[in-house]
Amino acid sequence: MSKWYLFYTITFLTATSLWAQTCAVTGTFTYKNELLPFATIYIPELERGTTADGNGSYTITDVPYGNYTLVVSSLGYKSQKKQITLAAENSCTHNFNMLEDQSSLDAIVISGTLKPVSKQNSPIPVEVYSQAFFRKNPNPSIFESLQNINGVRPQLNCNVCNTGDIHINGLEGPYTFVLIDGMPIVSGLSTVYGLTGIPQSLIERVEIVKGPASTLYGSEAVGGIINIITKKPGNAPRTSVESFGTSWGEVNTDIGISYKAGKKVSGLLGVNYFNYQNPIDNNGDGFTDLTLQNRISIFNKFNFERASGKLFSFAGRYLYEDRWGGDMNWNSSFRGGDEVYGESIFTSRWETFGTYELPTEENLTFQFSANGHDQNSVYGTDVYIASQYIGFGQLTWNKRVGKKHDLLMGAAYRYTYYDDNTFATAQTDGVTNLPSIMHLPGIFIQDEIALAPQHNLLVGMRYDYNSLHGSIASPRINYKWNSENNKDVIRLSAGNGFRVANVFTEDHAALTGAREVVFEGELRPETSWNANLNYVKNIVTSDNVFINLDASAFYTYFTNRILPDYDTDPNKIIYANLDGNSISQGISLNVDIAWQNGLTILAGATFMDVSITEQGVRSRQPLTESFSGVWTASYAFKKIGLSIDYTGNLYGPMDLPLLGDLDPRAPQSPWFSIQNIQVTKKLGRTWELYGGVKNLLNFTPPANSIARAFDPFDNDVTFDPNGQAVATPGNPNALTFDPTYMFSSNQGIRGFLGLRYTIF
Amino acid sequence: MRTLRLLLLLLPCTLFAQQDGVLKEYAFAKAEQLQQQEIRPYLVFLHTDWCKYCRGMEQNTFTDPAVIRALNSDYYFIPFNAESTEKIQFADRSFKYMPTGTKTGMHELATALGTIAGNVSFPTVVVLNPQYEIIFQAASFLSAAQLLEILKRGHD
Repeated sequence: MSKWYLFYTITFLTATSLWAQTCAVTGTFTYKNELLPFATIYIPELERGTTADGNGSYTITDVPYGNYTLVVSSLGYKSQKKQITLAAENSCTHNFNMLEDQSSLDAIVISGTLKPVSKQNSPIPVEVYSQAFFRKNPNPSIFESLQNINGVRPQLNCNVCNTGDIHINGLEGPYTFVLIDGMPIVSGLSTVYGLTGIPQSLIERVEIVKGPASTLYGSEAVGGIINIITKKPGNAPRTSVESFGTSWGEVNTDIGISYKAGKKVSGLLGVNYFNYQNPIDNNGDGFTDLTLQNRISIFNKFNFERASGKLFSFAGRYLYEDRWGGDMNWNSSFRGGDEVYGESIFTSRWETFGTYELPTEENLTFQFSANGHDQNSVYGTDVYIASQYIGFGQLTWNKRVGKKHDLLMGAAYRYTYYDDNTFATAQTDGVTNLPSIMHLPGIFIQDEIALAPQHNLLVGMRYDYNSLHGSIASPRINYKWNSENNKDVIRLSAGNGFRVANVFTEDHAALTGAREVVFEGELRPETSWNANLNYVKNIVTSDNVFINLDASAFYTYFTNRILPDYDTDPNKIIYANLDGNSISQGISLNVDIAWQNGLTILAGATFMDVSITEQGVRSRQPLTESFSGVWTASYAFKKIGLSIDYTGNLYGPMDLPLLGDLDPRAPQSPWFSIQNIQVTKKLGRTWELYGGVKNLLNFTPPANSIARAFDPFDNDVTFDPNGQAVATPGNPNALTFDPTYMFSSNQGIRGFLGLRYTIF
Repeated sequence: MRTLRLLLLLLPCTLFAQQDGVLKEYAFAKAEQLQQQEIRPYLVFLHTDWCKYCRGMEQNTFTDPAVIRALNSDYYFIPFNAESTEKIQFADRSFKYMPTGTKTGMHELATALGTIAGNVSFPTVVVLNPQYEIIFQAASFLSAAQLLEILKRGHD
């Protein structure tokens, strides 16, 4: 838990005998030819010592002639011993060249009581999850890791290609705004792919805001925000290597290196490589249960130290992925053909982003990001090739006015270029290509007001001009009250969110080619109004048990939503403005208890009701559960460096999309639970071995989830003149090939084993 | 009359009890002068606004009468918010807040005192000897009994 070092008492008693000859032992400490201040020197025989001054010089006066040991030490440097003989004046100077000592720093073991979840001191309810939390159930990508967070569900949209999105409180992925270091770089095309390949070794924490935040972030921040904060170069391990494999043959490797590039520049490099090349078909439908993937991602971040003490950081990331799923007999020679069905996607993506605080007296910050995303994909015989470029710049001015007002003003501009090979980017003649270009300038202002010592109010307003849809205004208000000792906190928020839908880039079902995509009318921006009530109670019992309760109630009302309609025509996905409204409402509770004996429990539950009322008819949103629960229970045997983590989740039934009345598949998913167990053992200071079992209950969706998997090109389906499948002896249920009936991964029980190596 | 006498009798006691029961806190800015009054080690408590285990120590550990007694008589107790932004002059050096991202950062003094294995976590308790050298660090919640043990050893 802790370590004592350099601990001794300096005695000021001088045992100098009057008749003995003495000298002052003097010298300097250096490290790499530079003077090292404040090192300590000690003579055990005399029980005397001293500390070097700020220039690295030391003096011990009145040392009688004789034989002694000099013991020198300094925090972070190797201790040294030197035998000396003092016999003459010229033998009294002793200089020391110190060597860096990593091991003495490593010896200090941090106990397990770091915060896994906390809430910041802000009127906006932010949930913070540290890297330690995600390690309790290690996954190849942050996408899967989010399954352990209450109210957040990674949803797989495609049975074959296993792409997915993040649902927050029942709202789908496109409503979730994903940021890296506060920069909006994951959007549009990459909502499907952007969350994979962020090297996990570089993640310091993940902040989650449930509910809209368009006032600060603009379009897309409707359902919530996921902000991935990467480590700071100064606060990251020098080297960390982590690799784990599963009994399915998945191998994930993460490497993180922090380094100095010159005196003023510190860097952080991360590489993630994920490989899965072992087709498995346990459910016997002839299709791969898990999509085969080969993915590499490289991330680098620089922090520049400036004389002004202001921030300048700059980062970049490149991702390449090759994934395919489909018929077990598929190989790349069948790509795009109609012999063997396969979905194959090549993704190449780059991102760059940075923050620069202007060297002015005022707090002016410029943030910028740019990214490019190229996707080359085939879904059976359907080819979808798309590219997207997004540029973003934002200048903010943070100003304190008096003691009560903390103002934040800003201007932002977003440029989005999108082009693909479909009619979505074609002129009305349907032939000439016309890439979609969108300009989105906006201004915003917010004021955080300290109304009274325990009352804080945040009011904000944003105005955007969308070059395709015109003006959009979004206000918001947040209020926070906390008791004097911060044991009770109440937060109230209200605001709106808006989003400009781009169904092709966001809804993967539209791309599978299994159904025809139809647009009815000009799609308008989606707009929602939301209110949120949050109550936090912190309890510390007299025997130091920490209890944290966090309850929320949320209500979101959509005045317009662009929803895919799967039911009107089984062969079509129809997108239209909502003639009615949509409501997402619910309550959630998080409980976090930590005992001093090493046991911690984190559990959460969300009840919600997401409905759509169209033309007076109310219906439940498909693929949305009404109950979800998550838990993480950990026990640490501190003395032997062993810890056990038991994680899991439980989901209530969801309505699933069917292909007409004769479809034999269940209209609802069952209650299901995915549970995992992990044991981690520390091996010395730098190694950690971990392993366990994922999906302990071996839950998988029904084997008939893919309709007509044996006839993926609909060769034996008879269609009527309207294009509807007809029941025939070979197709009694009038189905067509359909991989969109999907609510959980096909991956059953599996073991995993990993090794972690960290040097600070 | 009787009640008044009783009150008068009790008054000094309660006054003393209160003085004894209040933990004396010092700031880095004045820490150096303190050594001229009496040579004592410092106990620095690094915390942040959002750290709940820090709150727990404030509530249970630093209210313990034995801890208060030990700190008040043998140490200079310096609680320090690691995310505070003021400039501090300490041990012949100037320390300032260093931003590491938008709205995140840490005070250099917290980094200098609290870094353990390349990381700063909260709460961290640091013992400095009168020469401002770090002689002890612990990055974890400490109960009153655990802190007392450290205080005893740190003062020997």
